[in-house]
Amino acid sequence: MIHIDRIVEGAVVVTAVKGRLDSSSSPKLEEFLIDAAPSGTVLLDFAELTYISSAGLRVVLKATKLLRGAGGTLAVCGLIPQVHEVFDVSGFSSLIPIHPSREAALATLG
Amino acid sequence: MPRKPTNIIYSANEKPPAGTVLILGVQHATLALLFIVYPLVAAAEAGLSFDDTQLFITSCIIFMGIATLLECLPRPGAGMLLVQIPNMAHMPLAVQSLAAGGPALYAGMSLVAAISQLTLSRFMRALRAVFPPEVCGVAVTMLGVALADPALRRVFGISGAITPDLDLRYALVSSVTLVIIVGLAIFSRGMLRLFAVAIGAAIGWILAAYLGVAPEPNASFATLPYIDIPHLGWPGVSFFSWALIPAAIITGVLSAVDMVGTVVSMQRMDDADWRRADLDQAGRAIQANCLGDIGTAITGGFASASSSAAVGVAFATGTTAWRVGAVSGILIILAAFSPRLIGVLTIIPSPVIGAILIYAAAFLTVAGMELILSRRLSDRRIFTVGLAILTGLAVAILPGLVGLTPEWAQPILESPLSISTAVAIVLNLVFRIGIRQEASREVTTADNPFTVATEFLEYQGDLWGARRDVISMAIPVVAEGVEMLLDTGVAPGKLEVRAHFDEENFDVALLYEGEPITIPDHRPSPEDLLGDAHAVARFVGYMLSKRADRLVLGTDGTREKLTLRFEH
Repeated sequence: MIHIDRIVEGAVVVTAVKGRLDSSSSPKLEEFLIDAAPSGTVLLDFAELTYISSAGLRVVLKATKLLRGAGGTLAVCGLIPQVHEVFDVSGFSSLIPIHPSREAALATLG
Repeated sequence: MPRKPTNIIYSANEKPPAGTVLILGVQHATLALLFIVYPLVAAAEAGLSFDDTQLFITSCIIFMGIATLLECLPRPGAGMLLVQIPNMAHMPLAVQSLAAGGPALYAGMSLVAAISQLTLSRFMRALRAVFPPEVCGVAVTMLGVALADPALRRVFGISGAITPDLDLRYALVSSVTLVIIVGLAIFSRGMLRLFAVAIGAAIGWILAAYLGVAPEPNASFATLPYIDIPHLGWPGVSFFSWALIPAAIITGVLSAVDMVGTVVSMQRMDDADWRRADLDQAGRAIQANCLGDIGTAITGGFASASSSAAVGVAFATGTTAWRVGAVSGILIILAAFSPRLIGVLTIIPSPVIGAILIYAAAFLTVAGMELILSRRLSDRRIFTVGLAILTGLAVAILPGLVGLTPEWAQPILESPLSISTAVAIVLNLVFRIGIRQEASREVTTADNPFTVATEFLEYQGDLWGARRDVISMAIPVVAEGVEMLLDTGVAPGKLEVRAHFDEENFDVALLYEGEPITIPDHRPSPEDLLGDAHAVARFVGYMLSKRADRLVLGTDGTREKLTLRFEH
């Protein structure tokens, strides 16, 4: 249902999420983010994320607040149009930096 | 206003420059006039005299032009580029009735066919269920397949049986013509593309003359006047042959189906967001065609119908402007005043015509497939399409089978287009039996909302033949709604998902025992997602209202009802 990879690219911790992020899978991402990246710069690579529900958005929002509280940054990249629409409608687009691709994000964040 | 596809330069309502309209009109009119070979063949088969043949052809040309003009004008016509050609579907009726009772009987039978067509056109809206996209798609695909035989015979210079001494000069002329038309249509821009067909035909004609396969004008050609007042006849009307009346009615119905196929393929070409056939527009086109057919019947001519080859020319030139069609209609009428011009057109090399027909056939075949695949296909629909096309191919591959059937049935059975469309219409209606337009299922907290929404909506979408993009859009929105209601406890434990489809809308209602939710007018703060159940429900409700085309809150008995509407 969901597959999460962690890749360290210099100062940026890339978390690549593959599959669907809904109420049943989002606790796994939440746990992963809390354990793996309590601070620093985190990039959520959603290029292979096919669906995100409000439960998934909630995890993204929690991680953002957590990182900002610790002086860190969270950004997302590679949104497919359907997921991008959810970010736009929910207002997350103006809350969290969105990059078109991992390369573009690393060029900005790195 | 339809959104213009990127490959179209001038769409239906656009106004190309006058010079462009004129030259494109000449291309369409020229191609249309090439098909007067059909009534010429019918007249020869029926043994009409020279004078009767002249009247037969002149009336056909004049009313082809009038019907083209009427169809192209936005009112009372269809406001689209449709160009008339002699109606091949009339060939069996013309040959039989001319031989049995002369021009008066054919006039009577043509009137019966026209009135049948007119009657059908009055009920086009009611016939929407009869012509869903996959049935229209079968008709359009088979329009292309039906063109293959006359096209390939011309490409290889085959007039009767295939013999070992095939003259490859014909195929060479066709290949060069086709390569030029396709090359210009794909790789060129501007004027070159607009005149792709004319340029290809001109070069093909020169090559045919060089290779010696262009027909020489016969001795009488030199005696034809450049300008002459056309003569129309009045053969009278006879209905005495009751045996031919069923064939006439069938011919009228086939002509209407043929017209629907041509109109739909033109609509599809002109609208990047095409969703369904505009049958009102098709009805207006058929009515204009009927007026032409009534005129040609009472003046002793051969009936006409919209040309599928013109659809190919429109695609090649990237122009679907109705003004082009209107000008071609006027030019066709004017052509009736020039016997010499008509004489010239009858000697255009057949491999050149073959190449143009191949181009049109290729386009129509694929355009039909696109139409078929625009909807989700259930097993029922797969067999509707597959069996219909196979039946048409059976007639094309094994034409001898048709000879075993009763004579009255042969006009419908010998045409791959007619038989395929008829089978598609019948199977579509038969397979609709037992399909309810509403379906529901229960979802509990033990289910995964996305999986349930996907399985349920895709299954129903297949069954109803819903558009793929609409179902793809609905699945995540419905899944989100279900997840929110169950996870927040607003719907304690379970809810019902009820889908309804009526061609215009795809509605999915979520019914539950519990508290109503409210939908805010303005977007709540994302922070609400971290709040209590009501805050989350308000936030998600707002998102659903923006992602569905419409969200309606209400009740159904004692249950709350959240309806998500997706326009179809």
